[in-house]
Amino acid sequence: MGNENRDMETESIKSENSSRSRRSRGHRERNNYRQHSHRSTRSSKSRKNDDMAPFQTAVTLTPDNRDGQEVIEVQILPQDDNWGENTTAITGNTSEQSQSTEDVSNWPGEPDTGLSFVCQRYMGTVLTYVLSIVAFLSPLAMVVLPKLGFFPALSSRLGLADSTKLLACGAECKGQLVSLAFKMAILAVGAWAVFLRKPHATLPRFFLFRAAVLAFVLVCSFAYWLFYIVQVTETARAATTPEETVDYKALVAYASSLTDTLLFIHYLAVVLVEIRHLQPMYYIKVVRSPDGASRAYGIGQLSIQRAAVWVLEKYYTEFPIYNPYLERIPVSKSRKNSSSFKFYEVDGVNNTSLQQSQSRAMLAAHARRRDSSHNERFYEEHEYERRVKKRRARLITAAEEAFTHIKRLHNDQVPAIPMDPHEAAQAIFPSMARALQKYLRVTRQQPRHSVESILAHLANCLSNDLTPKAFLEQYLISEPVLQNEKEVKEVQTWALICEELLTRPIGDSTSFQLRQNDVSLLCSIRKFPHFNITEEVVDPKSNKFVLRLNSETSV
Amino acid sequence: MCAKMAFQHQAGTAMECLSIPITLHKEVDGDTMRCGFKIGGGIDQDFHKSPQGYTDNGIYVTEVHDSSPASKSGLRVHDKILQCNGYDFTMVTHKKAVSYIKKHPVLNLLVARKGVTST
Repeated sequence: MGNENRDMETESIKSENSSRSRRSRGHRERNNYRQHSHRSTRSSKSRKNDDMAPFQTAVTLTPDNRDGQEVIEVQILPQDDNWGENTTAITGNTSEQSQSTEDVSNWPGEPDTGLSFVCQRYMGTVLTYVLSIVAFLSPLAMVVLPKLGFFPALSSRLGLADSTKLLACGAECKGQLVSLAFKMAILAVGAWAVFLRKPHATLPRFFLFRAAVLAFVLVCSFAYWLFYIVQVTETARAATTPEETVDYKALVAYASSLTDTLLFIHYLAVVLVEIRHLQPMYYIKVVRSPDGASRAYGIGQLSIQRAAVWVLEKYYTEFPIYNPYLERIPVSKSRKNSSSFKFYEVDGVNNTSLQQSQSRAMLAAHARRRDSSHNERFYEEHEYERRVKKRRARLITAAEEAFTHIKRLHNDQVPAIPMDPHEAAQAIFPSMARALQKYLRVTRQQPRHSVESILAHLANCLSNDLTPKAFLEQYLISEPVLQNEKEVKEVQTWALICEELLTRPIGDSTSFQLRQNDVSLLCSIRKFPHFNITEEVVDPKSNKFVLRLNSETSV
Repeated sequence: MCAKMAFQHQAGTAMECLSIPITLHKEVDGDTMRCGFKIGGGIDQDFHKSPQGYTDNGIYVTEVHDSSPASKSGLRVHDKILQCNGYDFTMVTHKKAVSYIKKHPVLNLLVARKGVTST
């Protein structure tokens, strides 16, 4: 028992220290380690919490088997900065008292990286590629293989002269070959134009239409190959005269019909995947949770997961940037010293009933303050808007003034040293730096823009001959979301929450939610009403007017 | 002869004809008193332009509202008011006629009605 304790303790220290380095190894191993270490730290923590503070030494008395003597080990437990809030041990425990044997590795870890995610992202595409290449090359194969002599049965029964005659290609056959070539070129271009794209979304459930089309292609090519092989070999084996065997013209016609079928499947795929959802049938309202920004769109007939992708596309191009620092209206310094409810303990007696009455009085005061706080909110917001407008006006003036210092060099000989855009930007930036910084501070945007990014943007504007207002547009207008450099990432992960199955099509009163960190988008869908347009005929004779004399009075 | 005189009267000339006396008690309508009829005409109006086709510059009743004090008192559409509370209505402007009517809560009217007071 003591032995185990010691081992577990040392392991706990080791795993605590190296937990950061182990994180990169993949979430499975890490979770197992965490599970193990959590159990052990709990046992050691319970001993720790009794009377120990960090940097205390722990003395363990363990009967050691090494020398047959008792060894006293003294260890300095390092202060673990992470023991408080930062480590979240992922176990299945629901309380501190319980233990769980749930396999934590089943839980989703970091979804953005890792081999499984890349696999999942590209597997669908790879499968599609393979299948479509096989289907595309089958007509070619069907035409070329007899010429290459893959079917000796075709000519084994007959003499050499007859076999060459069979495989010869007359005028009709040549025409069919040419049409086959063109159809395959059209199919290739069509497939390239519509399908050969990097998939821009990874969906949690499989994409129903694409899977259906792929299954169709598979069935179609399988059937064609089956008939081809059966036909060629069987008729060749059963033939007795040269006229009964299948000749080359028929094979070319067969391959041509396969290409026709593939073209029609391509048409079907285009209609199902690209065109069907273009006509708007539903009204979708997207509301963002922490700050209440909302937009409404018309959306076509889609499944819920594809609708989620569509909503995200619109979100990144149309929604304003979410600024978490603007949750509380920034209060000006003069208002910060607002009075709080003070009460004095006159007697200083530790009386519980007195404390209860005091807390009740405090609650009542809080309630009263809350009742009048809507007034405060109004005045605060008013103040804030005034300050923003003031700083914005000063910023625009400063920028305009700064821009007048720079003049474009037009191959004239001037006594000053010519500068490239970066140097010009650095030269005029200090005169408006203060105003810009104050404005960014008031609108809580300064984490978003660093000095280098501002200088680069200014150099860009100068080299493109933009006006000061065009330069300032990036700071004055915070839309859309992708304008924020921090949002421009390779992969964005959103969690989709919905009550229905994700491959179901959207319908009236469907709603789903997309979540990422603390931003959540709630989308609710209603059907468009059926528009009944009636014709109303207005008689042109009724377009006449009479002057009405106000000669009657009502008494 | 009376018909011509009553309904084709030249304002300012002397005229003698039969008339119907009507007493109208106004009803309270909020903070005003309401009679419930509309008048048209007056010496400042042009009777040729009247849509009802009146033939002189007198004050005519152009509309009587249902279940109003006017209809209860017996006033009918196209009646010509000759006198109201002693004021002569054959030679008044439109505004003056309105102000006379609105003055008192009880109106003693003398009206001429085609087909009744004259043939």
